[in-house]
Amino acid sequence: MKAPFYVAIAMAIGLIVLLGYFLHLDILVNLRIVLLEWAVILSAVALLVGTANLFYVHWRKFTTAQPNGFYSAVLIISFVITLVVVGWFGPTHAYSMWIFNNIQVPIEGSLMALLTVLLAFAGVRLFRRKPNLISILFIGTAILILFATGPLFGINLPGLSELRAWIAQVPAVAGARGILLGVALGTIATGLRVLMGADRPYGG
Amino acid sequence: MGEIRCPMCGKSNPAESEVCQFCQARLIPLVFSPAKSEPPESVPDEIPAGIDAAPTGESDWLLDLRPDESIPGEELPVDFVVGGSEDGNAPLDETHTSADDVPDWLARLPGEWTKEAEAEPLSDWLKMETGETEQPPSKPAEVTDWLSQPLPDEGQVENTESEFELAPGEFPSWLEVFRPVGDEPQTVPARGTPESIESSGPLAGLSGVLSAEPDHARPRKSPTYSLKLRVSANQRTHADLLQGLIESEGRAQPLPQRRGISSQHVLRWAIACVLWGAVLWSVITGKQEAPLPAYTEETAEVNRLISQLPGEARVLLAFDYEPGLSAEMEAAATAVVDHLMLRGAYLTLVSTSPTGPILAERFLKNQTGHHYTSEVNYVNLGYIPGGAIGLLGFVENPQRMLPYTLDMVAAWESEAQPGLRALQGVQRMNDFEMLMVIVDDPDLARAWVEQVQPQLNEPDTLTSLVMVTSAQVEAVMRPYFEANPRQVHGFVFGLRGGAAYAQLTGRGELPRTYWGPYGFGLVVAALLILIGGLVLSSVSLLARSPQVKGEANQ
Repeated sequence: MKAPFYVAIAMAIGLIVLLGYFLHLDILVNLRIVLLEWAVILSAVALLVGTANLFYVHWRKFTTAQPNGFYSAVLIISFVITLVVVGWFGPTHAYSMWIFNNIQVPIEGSLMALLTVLLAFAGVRLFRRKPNLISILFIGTAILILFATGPLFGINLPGLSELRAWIAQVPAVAGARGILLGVALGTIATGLRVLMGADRPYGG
Repeated sequence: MGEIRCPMCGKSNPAESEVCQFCQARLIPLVFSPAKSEPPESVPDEIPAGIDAAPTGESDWLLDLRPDESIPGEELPVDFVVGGSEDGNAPLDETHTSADDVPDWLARLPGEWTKEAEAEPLSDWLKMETGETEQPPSKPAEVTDWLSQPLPDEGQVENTESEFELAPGEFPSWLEVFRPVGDEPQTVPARGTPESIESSGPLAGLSGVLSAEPDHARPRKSPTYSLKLRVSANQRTHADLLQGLIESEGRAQPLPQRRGISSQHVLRWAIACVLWGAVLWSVITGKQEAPLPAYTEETAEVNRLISQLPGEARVLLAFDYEPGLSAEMEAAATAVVDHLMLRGAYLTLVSTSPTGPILAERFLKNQTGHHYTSEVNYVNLGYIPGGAIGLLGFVENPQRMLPYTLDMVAAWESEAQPGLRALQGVQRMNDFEMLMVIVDDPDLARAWVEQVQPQLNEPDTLTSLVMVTSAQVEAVMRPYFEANPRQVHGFVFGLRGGAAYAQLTGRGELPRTYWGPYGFGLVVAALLILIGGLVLSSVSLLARSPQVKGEANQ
């Protein structure tokens, strides 16, 4: 009995928001804005719920002495300190900015640096593991772009920049256009299926 | 029993009700008056288990008509009530008799036709009506002959009546008591006779109404089926195999033992050391200063749009990147934002990332050449929750979506307050002179273009949309830039774009500082992949060739 109710709500709201794009009626526009505000509020609440759940999961992991509970303790301590400092002094205070600039940014930057090493390692091993035409084409393109993107010790090889521009603007953009068109068609199809009740991501 | 259950809807009703209070179905079957109906046949004293007792007014012989109420193996009672109801409250004749007590001469009294009829086999439907199918075959023989007669049809009844009319006076008066229904011959009333007039319900007063309680709707014991699945040995084997597979999925697999130091570890550390060494050497020595790259069309377009901004222009600046990519994004955006500040633009900062507002504060604080002050030269409206939905909501009504700054100060101009200077005169998105998005994610960049750009398509709108993106977003942004009309009016991508923009403006220290080590690190990484890959593949080929030779010799 609940399923038709859910479907009716989803279809009605979807149609209202969709019609608001095509028909510039005040009632439709106002209704669409109200519905969007509700969705934004729900998203913000979901973020809070997710944060609380993260804290709860690690708290339980720490209190039940599970393996690697030490890392959960680190997370809980960091969470509480950050929450107290930012909540008390405000997000733009010097203390809050110190935490952000000296802990969060370096940690995430270090992860990206590790990714650089791992990608180089994977590129080296690719020749050995799959020495086929596609691998050679892939690695050859990557090496070419790497050489052409940087200054190459100030050496200006003729045709290198033009080749790099051609790769970036023709094959890469062709692939990107295909992806964008695919995303657009998929979005339309998914929207229509939800509007018609064929897809019910809300359950029922 | 104080209540009766409706056979149609299953709800309970008072025992004296004739029709169901809920569905108006008839609870008491429409029957003929016992005094004028056919004589009952063998009627059990007890109602079989599992069957509700008949409601008040229901005769025993009606209960006996239920075909499946007999319990196999159970003997039918020999005693029966002649012309009485179930409870015996108002029997026509309260005399209880037994089939054994009836003398033979009395059994022959109804006439010779009874024996003839008895000799003929009963039809199936008649057996169902009389309930003989439920009785053991030996029992009907013990019942008096005239009681065991099948129900005659109307034609037979007429004939029977004519026969009875001839001999009523032959019975002595004391014998009349043994007659089941007085001295009237047993007849089945024709349909539509006054006996079958409906007395209650919506059909009250109508005659010839069929009973609302069909035989198949009466409660009966449901049959039982075996739940045991019949499978062959082959199917059983497959089922066991599938069950084993499913159970093994839930078991934790033992982890393989870690080896000490393998060649992969050595190779990984070697690559890391080479990369770190190259970048550190370049940064420390500073000997890798390289010429900045040439600017491209999209970068030059951004420069032209910023240069054409009026003085004290209102610019919406979105910081949508993660802290991990802040090094690249800050290097790409420094020269562009520096140009904006040089033009004296008032900046409004937003972000769809929770860390975006803090990254924006960090970025502006690093722009040391300008003295931009919060709530004077710029206003930080904070985080827009909801992703693309929140973005659309912000574009449609920015004042309702983000009414306060990050420091909880009312930001927008209204009748009650003048609002902050950076937002004076701004009511909608079109009131900004420029929208600049600094973004590292292709999906986020696409969301900004698709949600915001349609709002800027109005004919009188002069707002331009420019992007400063990570290098990985270049391929996604270019189709929007090359569209006609342009959906993105210009973009700067990665450190290369930032360095090119710095060359255009002649300002921007950060991309200049990064450009040399960045290029050196890229070349070293490319050489590592090329040389390392060739060496490893050669070693692999050399190691494989002796094996191939050995296999060929064998």
